[in-house]
Amino acid sequence: MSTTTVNQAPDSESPYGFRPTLRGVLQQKTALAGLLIVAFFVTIALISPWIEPYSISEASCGVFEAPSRAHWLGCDDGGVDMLSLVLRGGRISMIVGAVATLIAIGIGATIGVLSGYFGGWVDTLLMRITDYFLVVPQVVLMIAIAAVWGPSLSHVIIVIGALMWTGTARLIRAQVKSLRERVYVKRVEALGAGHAHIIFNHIIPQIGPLLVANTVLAITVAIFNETALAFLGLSDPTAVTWGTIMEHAFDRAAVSSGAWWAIVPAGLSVAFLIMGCYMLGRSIEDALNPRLKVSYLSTHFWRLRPLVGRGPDAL
Amino acid sequence: MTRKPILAFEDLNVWFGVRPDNPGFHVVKGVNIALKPGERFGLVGESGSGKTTTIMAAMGLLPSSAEVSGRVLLEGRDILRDGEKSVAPHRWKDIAMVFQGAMSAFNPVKTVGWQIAEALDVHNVARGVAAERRVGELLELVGITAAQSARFPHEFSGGMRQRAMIAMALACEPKVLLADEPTTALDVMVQDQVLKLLVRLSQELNLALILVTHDLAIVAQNCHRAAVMLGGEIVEQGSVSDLYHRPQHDYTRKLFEATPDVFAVARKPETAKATSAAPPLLQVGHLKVSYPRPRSLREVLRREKPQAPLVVNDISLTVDRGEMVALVGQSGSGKTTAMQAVLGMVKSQGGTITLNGRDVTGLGMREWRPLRRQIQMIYQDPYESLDLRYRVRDTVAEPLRIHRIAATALEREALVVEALERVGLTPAARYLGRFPHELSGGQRQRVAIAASIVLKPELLLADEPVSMLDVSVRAGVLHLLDELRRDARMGILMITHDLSTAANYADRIAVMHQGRIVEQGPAHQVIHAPEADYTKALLASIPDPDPDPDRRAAGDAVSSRRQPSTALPDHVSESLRHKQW
Repeated sequence: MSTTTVNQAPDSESPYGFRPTLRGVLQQKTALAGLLIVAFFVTIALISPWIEPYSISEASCGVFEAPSRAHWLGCDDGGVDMLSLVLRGGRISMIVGAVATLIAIGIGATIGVLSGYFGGWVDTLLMRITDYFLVVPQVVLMIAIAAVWGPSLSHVIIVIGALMWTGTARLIRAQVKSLRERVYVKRVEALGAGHAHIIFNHIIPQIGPLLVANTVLAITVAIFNETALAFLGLSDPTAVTWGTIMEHAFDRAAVSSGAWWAIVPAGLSVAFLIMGCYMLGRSIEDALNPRLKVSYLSTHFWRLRPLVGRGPDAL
Repeated sequence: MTRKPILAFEDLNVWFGVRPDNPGFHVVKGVNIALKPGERFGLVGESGSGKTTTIMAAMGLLPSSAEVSGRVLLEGRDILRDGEKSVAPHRWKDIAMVFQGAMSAFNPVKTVGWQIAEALDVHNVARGVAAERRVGELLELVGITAAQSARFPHEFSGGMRQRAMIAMALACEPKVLLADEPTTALDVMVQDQVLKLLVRLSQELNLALILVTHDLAIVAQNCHRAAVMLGGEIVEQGSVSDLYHRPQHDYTRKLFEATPDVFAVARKPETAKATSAAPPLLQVGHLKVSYPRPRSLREVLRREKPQAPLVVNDISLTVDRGEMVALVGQSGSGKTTAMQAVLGMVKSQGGTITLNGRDVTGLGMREWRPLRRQIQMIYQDPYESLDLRYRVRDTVAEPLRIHRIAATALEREALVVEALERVGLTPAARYLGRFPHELSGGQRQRVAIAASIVLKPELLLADEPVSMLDVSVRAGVLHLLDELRRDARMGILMITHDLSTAANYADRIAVMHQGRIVEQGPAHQVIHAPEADYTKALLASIPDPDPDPDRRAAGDAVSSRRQPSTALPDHVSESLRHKQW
């Protein structure tokens, strides 16, 4: 058992299951670009305390000082170096994004698997609950909850995680429902295997790659939501994140004073990170879906190999 | 018959996936076939032998990865000369095709008539009222009333759909008709009708017909000449009579052996059956199964039970140790449902199922689990029934882990090796580490069987265990089941639609029709002295592999050279049978 899932034979064209290989994913240019972008931001977040030119808690220059050779991205309203803030800001955004996503994927996968596997009234009940969460306008509810509970990082994480699982649940449910009808699952059931055995040995390994793709895509939404909540002032006000950087700048009238450097760098960072995650997630998804390659719909025709005697003299 | 051939393949070669750095796969190798007007030609081979690719080349319908050389001559003109440009004008107008799956070849949202009219319109044959009239004529030609042209494909039965497909192929009055496994998904009786229709049309319209199939008996009964393909090459070509009576190639012989004559092979009941006092292994009494639909709101309010038709209607049968019982019937006759009920996977509506003297009717999933060791199932499609991420070792060991048999990994491995060797995968060490995609279809089915018998069950249920396998490996898998029955004294309940398989291997045959067992008895008796009309009709529709059965004298002891054991007098053959054991 332990060796089966690790040493998979390369058979990515198998029509029976998802079997993307890392190489298959990375052969796509978008995947490589996305991976590089994500790796870049993660590296910076990890080493930011050592590469920041100035302290992020003390003033090192004037209020809204324009970019200069000493301060490449200028300074914020408190005279803190902008570059240092932006380098540090990714940390919490990414932590919140990752933890919230894990919560969301955890809830979504559990509900999806249970609902798809057992069907019947379990399915009906869980899917009705999912429907309720789906129709709730998410950002409004997030704001309401964050406002009621008070601004705090953990609240942001819980709010995002508890509202983002619906898409995952529906996707996984559909996939599990089709796996449930596979003959080999029926065969194992007829062998006398319990539900837990089937779910852990035959269902979850099959949907694993799909979960990975879904997780990467969910991170983009989580990071975006975190930034949005922070910008609205519903996150921990003392934490340095891209959202709070923009919020501070906005509050202190950076826009009207023409201090674009207080908003644009943080905004671009969020945009690039989300784009990187999205490109990577989409590429994994494409590698998972062989149906997108439909060769018989191409306009190319079969070729003729030259034949002696073919041509005008052939009858 | 010195007329010029209407269609000829000359040294046809097809490669797939040729790239500058890759020689690709050579799937059709130097095929030569010449077809005269009105001639019916059979192209026989197993999956992957290149038979479909050959006729697709004549239609110019190859994927873009294909490379073709050689010539396809239509009335002496090379239609491959300029590639797609020179094939296109002849497609459907001169050469038409009947595809394999009639359901997927029709557009489900358009009426059948509309789709035939479309073919007329595209090829500028007829439009408007004229097209409507022509569609009516075409449908009448294949035995469907013109009024049915307004119906949708899903409203047609499988046989009618295939007829409509033939009508569509005939729309532009082609000279050559290519039929790619036209009857594979159909029941024996419907298959018989469709083939008779093709033969009639070929005679009436002087159509040249190429029939692509894996079933030699179909070719023997319906074609003049045939070619046997193996690995992209034609290994033997000639009149069907020559192929049957004087096969030159070993492979042809093997194929004929795999399609035995049902009357010649029907098993005699075994001698001296030990009639012990022990209850039979499996006893099914008056079993009824239906698939209830969800209750409508009205039924919930009125507290009514939803009425669903019985899929299995009052069937009774027994299977004893060391006995194989075949359940024969058309698709939809309820045989698989009956088996699922015996396996406890479907709830029964009434009746009793007794396993080893214990009543298992209506047991819940949890109570069933320990009993599963006694009863195991073999599925139809070994490509579907194995988890592709599992190595052979893990697939076969899984039942042991589920039932917590064998304390150590070493013990488990020993049992796995034993099971693999039992099913003929020797040396087992060579197969342990392989994945299903590294095995052939026959080997996969053997792995599936090994995973069933590793628990040493007493009763095996087999649902069409060989119908998805190539003809030449079927016999091996069936022999294996026969050995298990004989040596390990397992009781086997096998579903099959193929009466000759049933006759060859089963002790008793139960014929199912519309949810009921219409006839049940020893194989020999059911085949030679059928009582039910349905059984008689079923037997009459089985194609005979001998192209000229009339020449064979009735009651002749040496009826067939290929079946020496069955040709011998009964007592001799019976003793031979025992010696082989």
